Amino acid sequence: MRAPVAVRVPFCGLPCAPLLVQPGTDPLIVEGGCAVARAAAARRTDPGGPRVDGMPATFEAAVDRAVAILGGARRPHVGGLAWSTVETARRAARLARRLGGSIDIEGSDRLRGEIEATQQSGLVGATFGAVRDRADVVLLWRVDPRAEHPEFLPDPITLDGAPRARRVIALAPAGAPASTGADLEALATLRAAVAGSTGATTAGFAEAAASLREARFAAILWSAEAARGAGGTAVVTALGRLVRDLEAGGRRAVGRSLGAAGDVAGAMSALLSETGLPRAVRYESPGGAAGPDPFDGVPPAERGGALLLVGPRESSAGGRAGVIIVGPDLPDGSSEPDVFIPTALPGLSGRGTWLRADGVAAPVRGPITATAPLEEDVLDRLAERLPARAAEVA
Amino acid sequence: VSDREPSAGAPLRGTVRIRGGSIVDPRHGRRGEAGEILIADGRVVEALPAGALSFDAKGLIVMPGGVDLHTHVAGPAIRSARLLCPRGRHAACLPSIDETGRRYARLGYTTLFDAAIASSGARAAHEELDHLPILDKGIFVLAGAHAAAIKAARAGDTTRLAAILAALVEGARAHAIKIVNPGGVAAWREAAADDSDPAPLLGTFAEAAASLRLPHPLHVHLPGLGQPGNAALTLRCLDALAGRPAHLTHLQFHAYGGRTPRGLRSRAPEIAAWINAHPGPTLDVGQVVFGPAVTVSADAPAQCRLARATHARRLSLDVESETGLAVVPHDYRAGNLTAAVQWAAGLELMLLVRDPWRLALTTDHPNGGPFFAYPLIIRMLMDRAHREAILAGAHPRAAARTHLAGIAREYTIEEIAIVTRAAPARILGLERKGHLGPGADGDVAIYRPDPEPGAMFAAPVALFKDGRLVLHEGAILDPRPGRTFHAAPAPRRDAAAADAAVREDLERAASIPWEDRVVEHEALARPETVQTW
Repeated sequence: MRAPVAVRVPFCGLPCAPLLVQPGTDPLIVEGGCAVARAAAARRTDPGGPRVDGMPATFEAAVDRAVAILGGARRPHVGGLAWSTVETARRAARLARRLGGSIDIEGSDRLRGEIEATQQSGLVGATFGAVRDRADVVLLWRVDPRAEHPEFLPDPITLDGAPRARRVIALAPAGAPASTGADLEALATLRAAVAGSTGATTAGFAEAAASLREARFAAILWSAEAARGAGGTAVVTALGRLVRDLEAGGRRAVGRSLGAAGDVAGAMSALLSETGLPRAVRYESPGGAAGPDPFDGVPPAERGGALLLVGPRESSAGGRAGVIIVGPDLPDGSSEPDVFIPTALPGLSGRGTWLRADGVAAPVRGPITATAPLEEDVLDRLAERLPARAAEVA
Repeated sequence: VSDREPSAGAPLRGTVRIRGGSIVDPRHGRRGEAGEILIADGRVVEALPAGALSFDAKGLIVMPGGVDLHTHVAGPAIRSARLLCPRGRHAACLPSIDETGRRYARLGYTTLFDAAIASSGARAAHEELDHLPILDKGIFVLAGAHAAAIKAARAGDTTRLAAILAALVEGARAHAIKIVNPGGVAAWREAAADDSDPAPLLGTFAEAAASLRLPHPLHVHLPGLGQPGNAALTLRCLDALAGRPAHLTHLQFHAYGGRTPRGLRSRAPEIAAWINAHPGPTLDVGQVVFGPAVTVSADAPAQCRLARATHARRLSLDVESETGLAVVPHDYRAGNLTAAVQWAAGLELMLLVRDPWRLALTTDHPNGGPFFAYPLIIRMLMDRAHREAILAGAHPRAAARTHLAGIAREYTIEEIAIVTRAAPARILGLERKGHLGPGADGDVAIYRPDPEPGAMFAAPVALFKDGRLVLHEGAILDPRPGRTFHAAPAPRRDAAAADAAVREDLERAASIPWEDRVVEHEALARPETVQTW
């Protein structure tokens, strides 16, 4: 048996211990890391060959059929991409542009509240490393990564290696709030306490407020789940205001979400670079301008037109026609798509770029020999075979 | 006007005879005489075999491709700007990476440098820049707030600082070192009071950077950005840098008198006089253009001040132990006194610095305005009546607070070619750029003469990149990306010991291992190492 190889691709989106992956096993035997990262890597390495209508097909035949579906579709939608490299997401965006279709990132609707709050009010944030190195008070709001990720907030030291103090406060239970209104009320109470109000509050809130007031550099961290749903924008706005309250009081303060697992940040980065929008984009015509997708929020299975899903984990084709899946395997419980083109495992094979949830880049160095094409290679092949991009009007 | 794609497998280097044009090539003293430019396999040559393809440039003006030495088009900062400004007038300042390359090409530009990339963002920035159409490019790596670098600089340890800077340049595959408000950003990040004098830090950084003999000297964003009265600090910092190689960036933002925003006035003439009296340092202005802009800077404390003063949204990000970063959308309105003074101060600097070879035209895109406003600025430089008409329409006190109205100088077309091509290429240490002599890259912009120079520079007739016709009459014919330049630091005495010592600092200064921050030469699509020692 070959020696395990260390993989530092941040599958969970956070600072995480390296994974130890056993090459030559199928599914891959994986140790180390965290539960999310292990689940991401412990996948089949030999997903079999391409299939068309559920029947084995050659790679070229599968590409032919995919091109026929996409080329004949009016507004194809490109999805998945949450577990793909930045390079794959960029190719997917260019493919969507060429097709005059739409593109989104699987699961990115969970970040909609955060994105909207940031766009409306701004945000004073920091990368995880800056929080680790600077914060003397950390407030965890509906999240506590310490047990799974001891690397996240290790015992703090100075640049000279000397120990220093840090207070970590976990204030609300992890996970989604039972009611957005209750969270907003709690945050209002905490802001008032930070401002010096001695009104009705719990001992925990009063203590947290006192710590935040005494901080030299306060960091407030929350989970994406805390900002999910209709009231998510308001929750993140309130958390951002708490950060600004602290900053206005003369101390440094930053706030950030722990974001999403996978490479959602990388896919968003690629979409921002290609379209100016982080998610849910529609091109007005083949080669045309990008704008918000008016069907944002409609699940892929309920959309009309063709679907190209790249490395989906959640998206189900729902038994509908016109579905192409390119990725290491089909999502659990997925119906057989019209075309399935299996690929190597993103992050474990090939080369590329993967962004942690805070945007810090990590290299994909591909320690696992690919037995199937890479996702980006399949997208390249599709792009080559599709009709040339329509003329762009300057 | 339709863009097209090149045929598959078309060569990246072309051979062509550009004949009959009026050639403006300041480096070789060509001031518009008719002649030929011969390009073989992507490089300018002295002779071509008969039968080579030819391009008829009769009646047209032929120049080297434009070179932008200070812009922000990719990486974490622009990603944040795009996130904060998804639509509207500010989003229009942030074209997609694809559109960025096409719009630069449509101005006749063939080379650009993204001037502020953190080491931890270099991999993603290069990935993005590898998809920039047409232009050659590179990045400057941020070092002035890096915890390890600041620690060494404060200790005056130039050997250790040089080792850190070399590691950052090599790790990021950068072309140069950029420092931003050294000391100030670091103190702000630490929530510490900063009453130290930044001038000695500047000198230490410049000395350490010089020891690496990079193609481009230390690229300096001075302290005090945007603050009333900052000219006094700027002059002290310039004195500290005197005699050391340095490039002073967006100097307009550091050229103010007055004590309060309401009292803001231009002290650009004093800054220009210092430059004229001290050979050596080069500069770009960061010209303000009236209209929307998006300020994007590693100078997070300055951005914090701006957001508070203008009640604007701010997206700020402390990046590891490396740098600050903040984005604030902004509008420069002619009727606003501050904006009008900023606009005039930039023009004053460009008009009062006598030697155009020490100047590069920039807007510090998208900070002072978008790069596609360059033709507007060119017209202001070449046409006194035009700029004075704009001044007359600006805030009524602007003329009294500035010196622009008394400046008669009008740039010649040759001087425009210097500040947009020849000088930035020379300042960047790019021997093959900014001229059309033998050995130069076959990057050629061809313009149709127009009595209104802005119109001329806004729409080249044709653009050749490495001898390939990539643009003709507004249509992009070949958008394939260009090369990435990155510098090789010179070997240093006792480097091994210093390099080993700094490794621990660099490991500690980020939450991913140093080796994962090192961008391999092979990871770049078309890398080219620039060695100048």
